[in-house]
Amino acid sequence: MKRRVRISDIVLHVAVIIGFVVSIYPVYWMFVASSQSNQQIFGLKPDLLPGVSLLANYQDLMTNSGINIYQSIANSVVISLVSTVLAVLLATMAGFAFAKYRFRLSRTMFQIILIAIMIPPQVTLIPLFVMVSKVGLDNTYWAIILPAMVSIFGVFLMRQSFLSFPDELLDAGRIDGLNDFAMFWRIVLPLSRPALSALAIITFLGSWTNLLWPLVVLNNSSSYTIPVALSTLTNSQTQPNYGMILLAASIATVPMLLLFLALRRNFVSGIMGGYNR
Amino acid sequence: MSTLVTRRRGALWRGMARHSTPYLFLAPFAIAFLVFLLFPIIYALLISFSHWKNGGPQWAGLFQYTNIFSDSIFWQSLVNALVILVIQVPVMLLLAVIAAALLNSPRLRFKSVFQLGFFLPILIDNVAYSLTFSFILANNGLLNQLLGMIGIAPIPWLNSMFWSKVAVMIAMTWHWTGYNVVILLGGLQNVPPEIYEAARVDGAGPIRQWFSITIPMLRPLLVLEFILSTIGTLQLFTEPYILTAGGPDNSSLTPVLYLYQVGFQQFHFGYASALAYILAVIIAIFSFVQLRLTGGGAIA
Repeated sequence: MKRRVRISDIVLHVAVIIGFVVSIYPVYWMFVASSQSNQQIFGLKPDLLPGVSLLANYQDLMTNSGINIYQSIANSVVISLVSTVLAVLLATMAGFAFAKYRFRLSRTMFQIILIAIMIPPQVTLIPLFVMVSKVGLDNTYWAIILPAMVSIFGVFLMRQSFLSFPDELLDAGRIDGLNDFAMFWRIVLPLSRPALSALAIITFLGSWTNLLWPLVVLNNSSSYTIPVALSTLTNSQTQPNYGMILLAASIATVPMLLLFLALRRNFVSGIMGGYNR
Repeated sequence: MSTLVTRRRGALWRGMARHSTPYLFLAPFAIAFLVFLLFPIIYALLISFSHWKNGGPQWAGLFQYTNIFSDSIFWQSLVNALVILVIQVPVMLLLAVIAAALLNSPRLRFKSVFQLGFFLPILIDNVAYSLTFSFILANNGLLNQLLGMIGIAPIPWLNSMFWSKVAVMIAMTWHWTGYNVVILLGGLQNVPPEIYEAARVDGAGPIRQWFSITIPMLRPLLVLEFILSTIGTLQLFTEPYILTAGGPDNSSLTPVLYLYQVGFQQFHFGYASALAYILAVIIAIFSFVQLRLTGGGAIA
């Protein structure tokens, strides 16, 4: 069967290709320019091929940048993973309680949570900073992880997904003698994988890219997360080496790209699914 | 006799366990919620009514709030955010709907490759992409180089009161359009293809299908994205912080960037907390009005 090429098809493909190029071009440029010198980056004509300064930029990044990019990546990985696991676990348990049990404080507590979601996170910036410094947790992983455990969005998402969880399965588990916690762990969680992975991915992305709170509470370069480390690069030098900064940005991007390649399906459906319910 | 007692005690215990189960499920979240959210929210209110002196709040009544009304920098930051909001959000969502519809077209070849491309910006960290765009948009940066090739004089993206906002909007649009495309694609996949088939049989062209099927089917999601983007723009921080540091002359300063400067560069905790609460009220008003105007969308 031969498809006839129509004008509308050509328009369609041209439009998509334009959007595609605009989307990937800056990323391509970030990687390529990280091997270029300042003269190449700010030359008269766009230079789209790799330069010869990769090694020089790398050495500059290792010795003169004031940050340790690999340490920052490790910090980000640990903080984001632990925050995500804790936030998802807490939100899932709470969402399960709200969806599947009738208890006295259910409505009141849910309404308090509903009001709290109206308050933007910037409101708690200063009191949290005061609290964290009072107990000496500044510059630690916990300063970031503890407040990140509270995901109201997660409670809503999981409650919503548990509302359609069949009660018959729970009853069957009870008849088989499982207590509610064993049932939650062995029946409910495994059957809620789509919602769990959606929440985990959205939470992880948020934690990975969070700048403001870590910027406030981390001021020791060995505890920097990736966003904080990158944000210090432009203001720490008088004459910045732009290729070096782009190299740092490129290196910092690699873990996310790898994670995405590993979990591609979950990633896309996670973001889709997180909002389409 | 004794077995009866133990059995009854066992039943009692089980009854208590049954009653306490939901509370046990809720407890970890509730404790974290109380300590790291509810308490700070109330504490912030207290701080906003005080001067921060010697490591503690000292009651100052409405002093901080009355200062806000005469603080032209804050109001300018709010106007900046509103300008960005009014222009960037509709443009981004329009682009996202168009892109989603194109990417969903059954006639598109190499669909998954293209979808990946549109998805790529989401994977670039906010600071990393803002840094990249700060070089792309520099006076002798990539964009001006490209414009120069078609004979357009360099545009001072980051150094002019007018263009600094445009620069922030360009960077944001590049990064966030893909995110919205993904959400909309999810919505489009829930539209049964039979509807389009039926429309085609009835003689509706692509444009007509777009307005009569695609847009109405996506409406709830678009409302949700509109409200989320509005909240996100009113809380904008990273992009102006990295791209322009709010300049030149506060022309790209946003409320949260200002709050950061007041709180953590000048350490006026009382005033910064008051700013945060005013911002919270403004965001609440905006969300409420949008919900009312749009009839709720996916949220209600």
